[in-house]
Amino acid sequence: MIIAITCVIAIVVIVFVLGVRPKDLPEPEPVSPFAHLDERKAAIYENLRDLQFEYRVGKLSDDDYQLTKKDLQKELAAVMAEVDRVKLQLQAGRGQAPPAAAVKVPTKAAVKDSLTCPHCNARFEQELKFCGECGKPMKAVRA
Amino acid sequence: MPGKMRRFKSSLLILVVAVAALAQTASEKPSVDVRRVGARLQCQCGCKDSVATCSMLECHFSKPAKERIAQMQAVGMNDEQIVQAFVRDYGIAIYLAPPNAFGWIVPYAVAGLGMALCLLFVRKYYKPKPMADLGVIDVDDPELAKYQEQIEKDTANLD
Amino acid sequence: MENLGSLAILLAFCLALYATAACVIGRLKSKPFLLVSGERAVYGIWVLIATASGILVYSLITSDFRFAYVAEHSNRSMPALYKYAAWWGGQEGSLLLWSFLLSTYTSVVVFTNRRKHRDMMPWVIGVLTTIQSFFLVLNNFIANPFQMLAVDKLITSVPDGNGLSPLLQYPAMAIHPPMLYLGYVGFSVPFAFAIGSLITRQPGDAWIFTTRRWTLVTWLFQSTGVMLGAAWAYHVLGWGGYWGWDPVENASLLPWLSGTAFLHSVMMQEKKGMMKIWNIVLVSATFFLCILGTLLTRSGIVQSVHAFARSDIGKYFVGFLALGIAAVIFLILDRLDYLKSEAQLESVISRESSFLFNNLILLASCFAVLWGTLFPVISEAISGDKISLDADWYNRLMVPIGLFLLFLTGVGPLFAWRRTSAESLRRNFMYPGIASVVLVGALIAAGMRHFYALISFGFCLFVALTILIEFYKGAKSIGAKNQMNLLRATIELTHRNTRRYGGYLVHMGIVLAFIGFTGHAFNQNEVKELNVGDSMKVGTYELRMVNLAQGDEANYSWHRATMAVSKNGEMLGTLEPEKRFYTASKQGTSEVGIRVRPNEDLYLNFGGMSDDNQRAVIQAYVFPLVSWIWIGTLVVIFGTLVCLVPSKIKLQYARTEVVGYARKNATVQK
Repeated sequence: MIIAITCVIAIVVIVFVLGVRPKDLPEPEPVSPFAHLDERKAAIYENLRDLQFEYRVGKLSDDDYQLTKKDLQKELAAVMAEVDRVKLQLQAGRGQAPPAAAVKVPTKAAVKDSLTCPHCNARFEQELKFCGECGKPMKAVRA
Repeated sequence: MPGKMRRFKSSLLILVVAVAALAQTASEKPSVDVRRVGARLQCQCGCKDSVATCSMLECHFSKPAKERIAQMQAVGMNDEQIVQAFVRDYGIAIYLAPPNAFGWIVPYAVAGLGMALCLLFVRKYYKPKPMADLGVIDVDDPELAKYQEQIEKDTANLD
Repeated sequence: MENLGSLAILLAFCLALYATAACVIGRLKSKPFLLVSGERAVYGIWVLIATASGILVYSLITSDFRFAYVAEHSNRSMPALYKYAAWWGGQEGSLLLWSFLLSTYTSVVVFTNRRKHRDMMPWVIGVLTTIQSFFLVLNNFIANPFQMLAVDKLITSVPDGNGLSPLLQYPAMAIHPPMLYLGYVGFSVPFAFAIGSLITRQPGDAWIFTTRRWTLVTWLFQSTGVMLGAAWAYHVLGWGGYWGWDPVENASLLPWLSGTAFLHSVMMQEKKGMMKIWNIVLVSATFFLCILGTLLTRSGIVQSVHAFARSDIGKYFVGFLALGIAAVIFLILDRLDYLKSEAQLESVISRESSFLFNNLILLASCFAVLWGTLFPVISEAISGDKISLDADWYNRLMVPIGLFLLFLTGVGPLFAWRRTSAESLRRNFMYPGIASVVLVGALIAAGMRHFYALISFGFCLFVALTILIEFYKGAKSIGAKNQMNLLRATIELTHRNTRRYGGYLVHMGIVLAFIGFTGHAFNQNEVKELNVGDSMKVGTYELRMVNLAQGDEANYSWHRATMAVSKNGEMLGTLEPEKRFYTASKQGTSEVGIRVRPNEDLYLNFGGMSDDNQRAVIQAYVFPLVSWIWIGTLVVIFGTLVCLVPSKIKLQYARTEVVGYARKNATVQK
């Protein structure tokens, strides 16, 4: 009796562990090559927010506030520059695909649809909040 | 009747044993003074603890030892004399050294070392002119200016 | 049944080895099927260990005394709760609990990250299952909980067991060890992520963002566990203290100290990308201290009042520790370039420096405790001198360090990130500083002369005020902007940045606990042998014994004194300290009588009967302020829970877009 149970358990375990079917493979979440830069950017925005708040409640002197704010903005600019650099690199690596998509745009430039950037006229396959080319908001200012 | 008597006797016996066990716990809670001296004597019951910390109930060594320490203290012997007396009776193996200077120095030395490491760290990473080598010096610097608009926009709705 | 249990842990051990191999090989050779199979093995391990644990618990509950473990740690008359708690009452069971908790954590990690961090996860799982394998080796071959009692190869049972150590038969004890273990085991997860990130050279700080909550939850368990231990010592041991610097207590404090340092120093990495090496070192140190803690508790290497077990299990732990530490050191040295700091210090007077100090002091105290714990062993090995360090030694060493830490708790948050000018400092320091100086002056005038106590009270007020001002200023600003009253604005403020304000609440809890610790300087005690009708004095209290009784219960026999307490002639009520003698294990315990008040506890312990068996030995203590330790602990727990609540404001910003990738708005979650 006990031997039977033992065998059953062992077999169940082995089948469970080894019986991986193709459909069981997880579809990995898409990883943006900018993930770590976005993290950094988020952290700097967070720092800016904290700084602004501390200044408003009077924990900081004016000088400290201005200096630190400028530092943070510069760091932010550096991160954004890095983003642009990576982007260029990616485009170069992927051949001409994205620019080609962008080149197609002018033919329909007049059409102000939601897929075309109102600032630089770059066109994308899907709806975006911010332009992937110039970084400006895709939709006209709502407010 | 005799059965009942025997049961009564045996329960009495259990009671007496229990009471005796309770009674001797009084001496298990030695005074601070006894504990101080006891901490310097190795318990010989095989427990590797000191006389003060031996947790064995009814320990054949630490219990009488604690009583003896208390008696010696009652007649006015100081810590050193009591320890000497025990060493004389049981040999040097019973002696537990008090914490020596080494025990003190090391933690502080490590704290000092940590302090030195911190200072080194500060020296290595401290930049008196933080922006000097970032390549961007002023707000109208082209690099920053390029992103200024984006930054302003994003920071505008910070809270 | 017993065979099933043994089989389950044996199979789990094989699976753990398989999972490690599958993940590492699958990752190196890029075989997705092997990776998924490795992850499934993790779930398999959990099911098997859960089965084994279930069998052990079942045999404990049903008092199946054929099991050696059950016979040794349980008996028939024990209440069901303690039969269950006997799971971790002994060596074999508690190591099984370790394995069970680790496999639970690993399964949760695997499940929540099944689609994330595909690059790093195989290594994370590999590290976790390696640890798991080690503990399963112990479960299977060193301390097997499914050993049977046998005579001539025939399984037998005994009529009744030895029972759980009566000291452990206390409600808090039913949750204290699992809490501590949840803490010990939990630090494996951030450690595994750190190592996974190090091996794969992940860009950015993904391991920190992913494990932030793990670390906080684990720290919460650890803090709760440590303080439950203190509460247990206070209420059960009967020596009137909550902390005796016992090696086992130290073992639980060590990872707490380094974990606290880690919690603070990750902020440097999150905010500025600094201290990357240091954070890896800290999280590894914390993990290894957890293993060391288990080793100290389980091996009896260092003698302790409550060393629960003495066995040769130590050498396996030492081997595991040595291998693990060597591997981590190698990895860090090999990848120093990856761990390069991204930022610089803008100013010496800044939050960054205060974090440096905080880390220094926390680690110095951690080292001091570690040193004190291991010194007797080291000293005996080197010079042959046997040395014992008593509580006084620790107190002399730790009190100044603790006070400095308290000071930093208050000062740290006053420094701004990057730079703090004298002007900013003056604004923040002035009122709390003046108030504490006034308080210390008043206390001296009132006749208090205890140096450390004066400093401690001064710092406590200082820190408390800085925290209150922080809340007040923030709430005022928010209230003015949104037309809210101060209370709502405070809640709003906390909700907007739960991590920061939750952190302040934790600091507040620490301050309250320090108020309680300081009370230690004014303890009073008195021991007297009393008969019915006799009275004694302790502090301002008068105690009179009105009754002395004895009796028997199923599990134990007892002696109880009824003491009438009065103060200045006014009757305050009665306390009933009791002494119990457990028949199964032949051990005595105390049920102390405590009159709890915010300003002081009156604590009566029935020490035993006098030598002539006529009078009761009553130990009476007055412990000023001791309740604040427990209140502070509750505040710490509450503050940590607040930290775990997601912040209300999730900063929306544009995530860098790559054509073809699904787009989401990134949120800053805190």
